[in-house]
Amino acid sequence: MAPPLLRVHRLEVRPPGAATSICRDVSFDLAGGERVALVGPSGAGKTTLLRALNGSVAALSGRIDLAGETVNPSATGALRGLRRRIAVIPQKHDLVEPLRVYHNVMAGALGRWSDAHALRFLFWPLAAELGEAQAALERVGLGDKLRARAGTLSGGQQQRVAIARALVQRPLLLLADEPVASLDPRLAHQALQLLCRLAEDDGIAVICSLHQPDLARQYFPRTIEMEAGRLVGDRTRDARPQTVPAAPAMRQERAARLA
Amino acid sequence: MNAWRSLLGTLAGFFPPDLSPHYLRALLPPVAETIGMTAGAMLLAYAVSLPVGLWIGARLPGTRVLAGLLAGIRAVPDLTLAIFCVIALGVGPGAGMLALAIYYAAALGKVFGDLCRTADPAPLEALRAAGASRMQVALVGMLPLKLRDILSYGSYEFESAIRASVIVGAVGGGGLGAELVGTLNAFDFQRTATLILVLVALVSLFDQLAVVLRREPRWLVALLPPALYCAWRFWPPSASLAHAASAFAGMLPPGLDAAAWRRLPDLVAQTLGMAVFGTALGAAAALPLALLSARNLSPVVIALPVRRLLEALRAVPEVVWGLVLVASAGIGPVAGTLALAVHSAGCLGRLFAESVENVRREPLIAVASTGASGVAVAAYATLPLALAPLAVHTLFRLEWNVRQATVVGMIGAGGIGQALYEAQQLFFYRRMMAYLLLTWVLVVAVDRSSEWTRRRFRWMALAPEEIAS
Amino acid sequence: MSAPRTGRAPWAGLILAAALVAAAVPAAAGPIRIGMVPDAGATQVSVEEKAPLRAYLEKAIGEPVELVIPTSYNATVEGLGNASLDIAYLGGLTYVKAHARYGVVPLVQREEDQQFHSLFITPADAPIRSLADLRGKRFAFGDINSTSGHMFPYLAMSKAGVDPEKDLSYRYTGSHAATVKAVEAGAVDAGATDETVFREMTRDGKADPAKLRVFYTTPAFVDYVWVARKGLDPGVRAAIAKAFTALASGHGDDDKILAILRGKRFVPAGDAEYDQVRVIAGRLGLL
Repeated sequence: MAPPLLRVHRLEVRPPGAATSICRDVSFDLAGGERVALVGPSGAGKTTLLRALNGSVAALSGRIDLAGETVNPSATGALRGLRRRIAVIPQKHDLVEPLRVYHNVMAGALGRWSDAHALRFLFWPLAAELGEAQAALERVGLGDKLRARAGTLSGGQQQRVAIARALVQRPLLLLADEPVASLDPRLAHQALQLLCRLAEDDGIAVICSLHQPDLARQYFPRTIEMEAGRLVGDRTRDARPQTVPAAPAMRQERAARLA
Repeated sequence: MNAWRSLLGTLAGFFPPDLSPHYLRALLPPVAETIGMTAGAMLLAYAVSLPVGLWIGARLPGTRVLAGLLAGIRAVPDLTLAIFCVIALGVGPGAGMLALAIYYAAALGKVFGDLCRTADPAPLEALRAAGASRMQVALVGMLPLKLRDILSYGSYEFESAIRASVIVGAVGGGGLGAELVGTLNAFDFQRTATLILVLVALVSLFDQLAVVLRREPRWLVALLPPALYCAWRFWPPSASLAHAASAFAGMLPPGLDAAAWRRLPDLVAQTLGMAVFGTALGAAAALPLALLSARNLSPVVIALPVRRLLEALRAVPEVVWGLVLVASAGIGPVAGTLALAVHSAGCLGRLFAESVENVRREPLIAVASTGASGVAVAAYATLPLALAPLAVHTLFRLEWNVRQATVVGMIGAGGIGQALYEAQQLFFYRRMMAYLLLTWVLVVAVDRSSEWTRRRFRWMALAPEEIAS
Repeated sequence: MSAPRTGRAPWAGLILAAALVAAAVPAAAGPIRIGMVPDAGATQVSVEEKAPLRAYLEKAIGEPVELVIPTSYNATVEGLGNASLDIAYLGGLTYVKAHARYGVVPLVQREEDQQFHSLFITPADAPIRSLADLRGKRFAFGDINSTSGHMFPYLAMSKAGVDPEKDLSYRYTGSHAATVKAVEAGAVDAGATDETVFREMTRDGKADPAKLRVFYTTPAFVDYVWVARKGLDPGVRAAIAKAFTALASGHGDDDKILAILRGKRFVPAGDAEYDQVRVIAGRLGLL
């Protein structure tokens, strides 16, 4: 059997300045393309775990393997290599508002671009690059916003730009930290629906922290539950649905686009 | 090329500074005079600006006129005010003290007015509902609400006033400034170097003092008796006030002859050129220095020395750089531009670094989490996010540098400032007044267009503390 | 946000301060204030060097004396006008202005002030030999109000067919000493300076005589004079004049004072001597 995409083994994390460890003895495996919801009360260590996975905080002990390689974030080059393969969608909007939408979307490509390439694109984007940004934006339903200033978009639109940035990054794994916390229920459904469908289309594995168990059940075949820094549950639904259920509003939108 | 060689040659003449006990002892009286006239001036400035600020804050009748008057005074470069006071009140610290008092009363009056307007409206509304008059609302409501801010802002100004006191001293206002011009006139550059060191030390001393005072504003009370003594000691005799009135009458109406009008476009171009190029050069030097000194971009071993360098550049006012460059190299507008650039680099460097440090962290983290390199993070997140504050700081500096370009002009760097100074030196006071008016128009015009630019691009206004220094 | 209670004390203090400052009437009678020419730099050290002069004058007039070195002639003249100076040492041109504006009274002058000269100097190895050679060069005048550092050199250049406004670039150094040093340092190619200052600086080692060469000396004119402000008590005025004219070279203590004043003998001065200066200054647009 092929090794799992991600293997977390007895991970203990203590962020700088913290008196005690926030994550303790965390172990789990994740297969390529698998979607997992990470649930638990606030303060359970969900965010810290996600940050450890992306190398933002170093592990105190334990091991993380990604695609068969052990992650060692203390080496700078290795950290950049790791981050290139893991995309992050944050809780709050995090776009660089003074820049244009295509800058923000193509920021996803910075990990594979040289510095010279990055600087050139800032002032002189090529048609092919803009085409890539446009394609990603169309997948999140923002095809008309390519040249808009990021600061002029609504909160929901900004989040979709962040998803487009993650797509451009072409990651193996996508980490989403409470991506719907600041959205109303209708938009939350739309966002999760979009996220999961795109991940499925591109074969990207997803770990998404959520504090609404019903959303987790609805969109994620597998749920990992954390409490006080430990894993307390890991359930996979028996009958995995063939497709992601479409949110009601989304269905209408899609119908409208087809028409 | 020749000019540059002689510049370097004479700059070498500044080393080593004269640190002999004899000279340092001789410097005690001018240092005391400088501190004294600054303390007295700030006391007078507070005494005037507090009621004025409250008046404006409470929008009592006449607020518009008063605010306009304050803006008008602030558009007069400090050195010109000092020249006025020397003509009116004679040489010595009295004239310097009054010039500083007028300048800072206008500056503080505006800031206090703005601060009062930001007072929490709820308690003021409660007072109004209880039937308090607007005056009572100001005294019982706004003042206590904002006193801490007012006092802590004033302590910022103290440091800047010490620097300004050297400037007014240079035209006859006494203290270290007079001594500085004296050493330059004697080509005694080693003692000039000593004075610059003393000035840097004095400014950083007051900087530290201001930090303490901001934390504990009530300690300002301890400064009251000495300030009161200084204000009394340097207060000009009443006879000279009568002279001041008649001297001022003799300056009216302002007038320029035809030849002067013909020279005017050149003079204005020189002054504006110094301001624009000085600001641009300063900003260009400040940006890399700011990136090197920003805590979130640069390791401490680099950031700290760069910060010290910026402090040193800032501690010495433009005029002093100008005096040194003009006296040693005398290369006119080039010396003026360099003088503005050096000081601007120090000021902007700090403000830029703060802007870079204060950008929102989330976008930075997001861009870094894609695996972007340090350079890419700076180019795609840090700098774009800091761009608006950077531009605002640069525009504010440009406004300031237009005033300072006139001032360095007065000490020989050319432009409208030099024409003004020569007219004043030759007792052509009506011509001087004309140049003063023109300077004023120039300053106001640049202020307005800078304000328009800021509005046009919707760059936010900054907190007053950020504009200070 | 409530009012910080500790903040009230400074507020009360400030009101008190304002009231006290407004009511403060400073004592009128002070020392006799004597304004020197900033010809060698208005530094604390140069004031100290003039201490014997101060002691001498205090003894001679029986009142405390304060020596002041203003930063420019303008400040000196305005000081006489607003009574912040009682006695001052002025150049010919500034005397004419101060007399016209504030009616200052001429007292005494050095004998050589009646037959005074300006020197044009250049580095010893420079190719400048005559006024005509100044074309295209960098030139230093002293104070813009200086008779020997600006007005008569300017006149001499004009008479030699050199127009300072068009033929060369010039600047004001602010003092004679600065002009000498600027020429010596090569900051300018040539400059015009007061003959007594130049002699003193080269004699005392403040400037290197081997590095400097005088290439032109102006015709004689009337220059410096000690003056009193208009309202000064005639008794004090007379005492000052007498103190100066009583100085005689060859007497040990007097020599020290005369050296400070760069003179040998003082004679009474009169307003009529300055008619020539008045005419020329008017013609050069300096009045």
